[in-house]
Amino acid sequence: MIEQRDETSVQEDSIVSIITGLLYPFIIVFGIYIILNGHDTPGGGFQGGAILAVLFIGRYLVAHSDDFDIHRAHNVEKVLLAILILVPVVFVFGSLSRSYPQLNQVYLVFMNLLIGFKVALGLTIVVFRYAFFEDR
Amino acid sequence: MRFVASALLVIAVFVLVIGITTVHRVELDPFIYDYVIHYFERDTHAKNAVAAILLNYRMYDTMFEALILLTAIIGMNHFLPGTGSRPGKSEDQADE
Repeated sequence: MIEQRDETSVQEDSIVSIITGLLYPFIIVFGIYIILNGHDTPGGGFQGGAILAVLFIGRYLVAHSDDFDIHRAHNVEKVLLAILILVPVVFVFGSLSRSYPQLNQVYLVFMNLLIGFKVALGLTIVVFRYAFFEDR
Repeated sequence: MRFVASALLVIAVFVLVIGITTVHRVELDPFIYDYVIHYFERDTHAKNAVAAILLNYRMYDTMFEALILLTAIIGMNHFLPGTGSRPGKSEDQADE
């Protein structure tokens, strides 16, 4: 009986899948919270991005899904990096942060969001690249 | 022999660095520390000094830190075997 079950359910572990499904909304909320409060509390883009990357990695661990398009994610990450370099060049190096001090909060939150999504995409790409390499 | 030599080299460098730092002490000027502690909220409107440093005072560090992740992915795409797309489709696209 046990051997038969092992043969049919190599791909899916019900405990892991149920627990991961339960944790999903909490992971999303926790990651977004860490990113959005990065300028007030400990945390920030890199940490929140790493938490958000757990979403895709956990989904792969549970379902062995291979519908993640690495090339498209890579292109999105490049665009995000371009914005990430352009915004500080204009705002900080152009000393707009001194002229318009009320924009500083918006700038910090926006930069943390950009860094968070970029790091989440990057870590996901790294893990999926190795996973697809091992799957071949 | 090579491993012994490299291990001896590492130990020698470690002892040298420890010895130099115990003999030769430098008191750093805490100017930047004091400035950041006192003025980061006025300058950047952030309540977290780490965020103020990462996103305003040391912006180059954050920009290139974000760049090295992209560089690592580009290196992986080039040096790992395989095409990097889905396992099912990778073979077909590679043949075309």
